Amino acid sequence: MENDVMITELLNAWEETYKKGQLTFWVFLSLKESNKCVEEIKEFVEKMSEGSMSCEEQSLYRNLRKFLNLGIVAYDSKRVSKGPDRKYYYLTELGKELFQHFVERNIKIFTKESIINLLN
Amino acid sequence: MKALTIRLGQFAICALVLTVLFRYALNLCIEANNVIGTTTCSIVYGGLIFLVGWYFGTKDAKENEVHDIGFRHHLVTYILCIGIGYGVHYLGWNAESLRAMTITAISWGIGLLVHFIFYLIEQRKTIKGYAKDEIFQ
Repeated sequence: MENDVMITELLNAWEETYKKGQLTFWVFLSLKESNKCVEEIKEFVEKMSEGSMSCEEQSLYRNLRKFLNLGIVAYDSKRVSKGPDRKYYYLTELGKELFQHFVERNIKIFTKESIINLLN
Repeated sequence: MKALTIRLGQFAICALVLTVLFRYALNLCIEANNVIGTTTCSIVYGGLIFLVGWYFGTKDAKENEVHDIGFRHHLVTYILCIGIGYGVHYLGWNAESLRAMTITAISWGIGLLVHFIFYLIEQRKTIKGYAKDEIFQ
């Protein structure tokens, strides 16, 4: 019982640290799939991470604006029947290259058989 | 990082109004040989500019994630204060001596240069004005 409480507390603390920096990964992954508006990115992140990642739209807007200024993402405006034009974001060439390098250096290692065996 | 932001523009307008008021009050005090008034004007002006700069600067940092350690605001204040000072002097409306204004411009300019050096050092920790450790969250 005491161990369970300890594990839960440690797990929460570990996950809190681990998840920092993960939002970018999930956002890029969603944009690699297709051009998306903020609502669709949020939906993708929550669905594909099976609820382990959640994000506020405000936080997504802030991050996308930053990536936009850095030239990592760009957007196309599309007209919608009601309200202002909707922005559909996509990865620029720089963004695609950045994501590819990140995945090769940090994610693909988990696809090695020896690592998969250890995880199982 | 966008160097010219709406917040910087708002600050510039406030700084312009404050500087014009300061120059006007300073002129009155100098003409009246009022040393306490002259000193008070300068301190109040400096304090108000700092507070207004702090207000718009923190908003700018939050909204636009600008990391310039207040250098843009300092530069705008310098240009406005010194520029308006020389401007009104050459128009003949300034009681402050050219020597005093030049000493102020040079000493303040040295302070601004030091600020610029710190700004450049800070820029090495950024990519396009964004702090490297805050880009990816």
